[in-house]
Amino acid sequence: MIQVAKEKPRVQTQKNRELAEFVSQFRQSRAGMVGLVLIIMFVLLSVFVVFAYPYQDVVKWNDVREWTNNPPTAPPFWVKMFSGKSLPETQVLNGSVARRYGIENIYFEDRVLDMSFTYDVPPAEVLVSIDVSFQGSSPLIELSWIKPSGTTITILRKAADRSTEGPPYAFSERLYVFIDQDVKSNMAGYMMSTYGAFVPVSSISVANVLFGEESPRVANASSIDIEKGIYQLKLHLQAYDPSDKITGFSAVVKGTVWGWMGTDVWGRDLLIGILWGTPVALLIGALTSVLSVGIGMTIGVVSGFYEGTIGEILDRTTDFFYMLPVLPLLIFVSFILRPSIWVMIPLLSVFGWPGIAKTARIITLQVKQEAYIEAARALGASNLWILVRHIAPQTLPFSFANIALLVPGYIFTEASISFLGLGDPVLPTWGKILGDAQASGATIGGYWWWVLMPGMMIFLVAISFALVGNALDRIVSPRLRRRA
Amino acid sequence: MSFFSYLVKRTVVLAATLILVLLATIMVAGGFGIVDRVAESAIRQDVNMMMRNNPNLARLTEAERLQIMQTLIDEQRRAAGLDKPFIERVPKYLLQALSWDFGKALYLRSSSGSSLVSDIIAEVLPRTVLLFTTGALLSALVGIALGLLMARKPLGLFDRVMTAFAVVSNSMPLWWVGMLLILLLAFTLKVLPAGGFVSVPVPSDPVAYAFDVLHHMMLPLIAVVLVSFGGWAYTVRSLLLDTFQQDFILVARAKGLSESDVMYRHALRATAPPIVTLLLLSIVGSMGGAIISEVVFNWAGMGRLFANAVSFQDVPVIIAETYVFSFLYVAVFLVLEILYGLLDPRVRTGASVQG
Amino acid sequence: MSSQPVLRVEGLVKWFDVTHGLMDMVLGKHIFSRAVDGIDFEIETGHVFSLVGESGCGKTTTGRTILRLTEPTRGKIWFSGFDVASLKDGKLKEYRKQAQMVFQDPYQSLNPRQTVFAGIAEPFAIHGLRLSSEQEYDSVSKALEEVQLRPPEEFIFRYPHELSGGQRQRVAIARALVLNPKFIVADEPVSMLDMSVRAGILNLLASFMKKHNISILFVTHDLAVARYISDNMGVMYLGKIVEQGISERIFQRPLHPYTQALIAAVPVPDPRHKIGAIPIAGEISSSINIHPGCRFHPRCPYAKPLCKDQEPPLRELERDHLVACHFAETIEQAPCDNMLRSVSGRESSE
Repeated sequence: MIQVAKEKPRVQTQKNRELAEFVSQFRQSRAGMVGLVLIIMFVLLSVFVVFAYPYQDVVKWNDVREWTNNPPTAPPFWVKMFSGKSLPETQVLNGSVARRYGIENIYFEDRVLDMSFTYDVPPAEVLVSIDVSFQGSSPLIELSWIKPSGTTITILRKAADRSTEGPPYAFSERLYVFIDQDVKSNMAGYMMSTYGAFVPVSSISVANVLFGEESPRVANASSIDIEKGIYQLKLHLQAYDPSDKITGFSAVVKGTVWGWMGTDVWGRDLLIGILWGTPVALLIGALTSVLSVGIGMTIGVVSGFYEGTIGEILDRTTDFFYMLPVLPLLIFVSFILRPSIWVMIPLLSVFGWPGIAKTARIITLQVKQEAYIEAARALGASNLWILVRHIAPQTLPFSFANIALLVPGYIFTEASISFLGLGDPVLPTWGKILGDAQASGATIGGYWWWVLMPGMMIFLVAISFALVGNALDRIVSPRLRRRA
Repeated sequence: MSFFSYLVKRTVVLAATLILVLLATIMVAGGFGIVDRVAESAIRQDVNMMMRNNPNLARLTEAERLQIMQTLIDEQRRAAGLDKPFIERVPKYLLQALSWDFGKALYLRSSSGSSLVSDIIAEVLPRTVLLFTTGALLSALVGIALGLLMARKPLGLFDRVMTAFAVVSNSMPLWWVGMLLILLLAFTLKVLPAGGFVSVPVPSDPVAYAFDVLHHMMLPLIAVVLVSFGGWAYTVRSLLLDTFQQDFILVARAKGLSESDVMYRHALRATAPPIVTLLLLSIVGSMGGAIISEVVFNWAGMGRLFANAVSFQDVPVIIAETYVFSFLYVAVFLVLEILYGLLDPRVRTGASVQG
Repeated sequence: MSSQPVLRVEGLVKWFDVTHGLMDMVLGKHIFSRAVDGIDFEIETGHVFSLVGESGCGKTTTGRTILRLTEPTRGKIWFSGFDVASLKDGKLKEYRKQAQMVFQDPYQSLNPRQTVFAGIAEPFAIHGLRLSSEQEYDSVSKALEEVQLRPPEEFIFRYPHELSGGQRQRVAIARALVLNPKFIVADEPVSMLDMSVRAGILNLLASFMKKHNISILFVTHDLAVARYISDNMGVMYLGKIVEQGISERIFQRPLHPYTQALIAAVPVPDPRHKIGAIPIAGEISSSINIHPGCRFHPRCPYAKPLCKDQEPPLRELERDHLVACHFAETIEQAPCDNMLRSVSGRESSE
């Protein structure tokens, strides 16, 4: 009985001997190990991303309205460390307290929002949201800006017109202070009345006026000194019915830096997009690669084994697919189909397998001539048996090396398709982000983070698979040469 | 089998491939109704234009006008064959494409204003060839030179650094490197134009024009060479080292030939066939990858035209471009096969694998 | 010791189609290499029959055809009452259990990536014999002991490249014998081994034969080996058997000029033995263009006009001694001292 127990595991471990040898050879390759570690890190990252930022976040990513409170094209916050200047981050202001008072038939309400601003550079934008409800006549609203020095500037003064059916009527305003034309002419008026300075409305910088230290030239100066301290945003309502009131008043002071990876032109947090690109890229790269190697190996081995008509047909088919121009055809098909990644994966693999098939065919042709194949036949082995037991194992190591080596190419190709906007419509991919960057003029506008970060991810994933693939290839090839 | 019959055989196969690809493209486009949609809207546009320009029609009633319009549209449709099912029209489309008649573009125009797709493509094709073939050749030259240096002292410092560089540069997509270079050289350092084929306004003097194009070519060329030369260097180095193992090198050295003689006269000649093959393949590959790169560099070539056609949904141009790309691919493969035949006599005689 | 032959070959013919060139194939003009052109012989249970001849004479093809590793063009192969030539699928697989082959190149005939254990145990799996791993291990161990690779534990998990040539051939033999076949084709099993190892392998085969009553078709070009091991012998030339019979009889009195030349070429370890010239000229002809008449006549020193026109039939000159020659009775025995001047021709197919 003891003898039985001793022998059984010996037979089992024998099968693992070749595997163990393979693994130890791989361990010796430093580059290969580095690549492997990177891949494992990316896989872990992907798992993390899927849980930390669930699918709803992806849907939110695509909805531009979700991001209006974010500063657009803002570099990452850690840029501050290199710029020497203190750069503003986004602040959200709300929670104002209503102060109501009235004289005769006129009813007033004041609300004030406070903000502390001690940065060296003005914010990217100030976005004010005002909501008023009124019964009959349009009330008057006045939005004013009080600087730390006490200077008061009127930003806007207008009547609250009826935006909905009523009564009660509702008035809603979302004011982009820095770009609103009315605000700009008010600024021009302020400069004229305070300094007698004429500044054409088109060249006025609202930010300069609101945040800069007072001077006649502040309105269109290229760089200014910031007045640092507590700012106040005051909304004054003059209404004609006691029930008229301010129902909402808040502001977002958009910083010039945001997030770990910055934002794009719509203010989207690039970190989410880049993180989510990881599982997508890995999925596409790995699955496509496995699929195409599977197809290629099968076709190549069958074509080499069954020479004659079947082999010829398969060989010609392989040649045909080999000669197809990958990207133009892919773009064409994507243009028509608008594929999701599940359609994209088989589509991509259609173009990758011919190279594998050619190599597999050559190996098969070589192996087929070996005497032990005929010996197996003499033993009674069927064609299928020989294919599976004797020929396929010779091709297996090549499969693994090729699976790894094909991944970078597939990631690049998919990135190209997404770049043109033809990829998966929902999932964020690095190619899509880069395509957006190009279309929004990131290269000309200097939004380097938008270009560097996503591309860096592509590069890192590609190189990790390349390192592993090269290491595998080196293990596989010399063994074949060393054989006889 | 003589070389000639081999050549004929290969040409037939490649031509068949081309036709098959074209057929597939047409079928796919037709199968989704795109070709028909395009044709119908073109007809409608034309008829509308015709009716608007005809003053006699203004006197008729609305109903009569509509009737005339419908008749005209039906007439045109019949003329274009749209009343027949798509399958029957495929041969006609195929023949048109093969004779370089791609019809008219929907929105895009050539710089001379022609709406003929063949004109549009003929205008942009040379620019793509100019940029990417030059780039491929340059990369090969630089790569071969460096590969030689690497092979002299295998596993030396230079060799290892270049190998690392090759792996790194192979893992970067060309167009991304292009974007980074634009940020660096055009935006930050402002030494080269950010893109485009020529400046605006276009210089009239031909010499100045040529220089202007060259000036605009520099940034893309730097990107192309940067990304490719590493791979080339490594490949050449490996090929050379393999060749060095062979006996005839030993003989050359034993004869007392100098190292550079051995290198240049004997080793390089042996590695010439695979290098030529790789060169052609890289030219082929560069044309495919050119699409995104041309968009990034705003280079008015085939690739950018393709991208524009996609974004404008200009279907005739898309189909024509797909076909032209296939044609170029297949043409290069044919050249490759000819070269194979010339270099490897075994292929010519059609000798089969023995035993 | 039964009288029923294990194997009987009747009129076996194997022609290879060597047409090349698209035009010829299209026009239907075929060219054939007539590797085996009609041979008959029998092998009794427990006997060894040698098939000897130069390279290209068709002996290996005969062996492969009998095992259906290549399809016979014509003829019958009777094995235990069944015509093997027409077996298919399941029956063919059954046949393979009973008729096995030992190949010439011991390294090439073993899968280099399979351990000795895997190689010898493979036949079990092929024929669907489900054995537990202990049973398998035992069977393989026993097989190794039988081929005298002792102790079996030392060899059982080695790879072919970790064995010597002789050891590998023993493994190949073990693999062939593990399913208890009745018949083995041994195709030059020792010609790639060192001289010192050959005797061991030959003795192994002989002892197996006795112990398990296995019949062997022994294909070789080496007459000394054939003499050592075989009971009966057939001398082949260009696809036909030219002399056939009990081995010792043939060696004592070779009747066919070709046989005489072959025997004369066997080195004799006696320095006083003089080696003269053998009047055979030229190379073995092509198996494609077969001239009418005796196939050997272009090289035969005794050729007469009749030999050019008429092919000599295989006739029994003595008991159990057949020869295919018009003038066998008149040919002198002297040429035993002569040396073969010609060299082996090129291979067209084997």
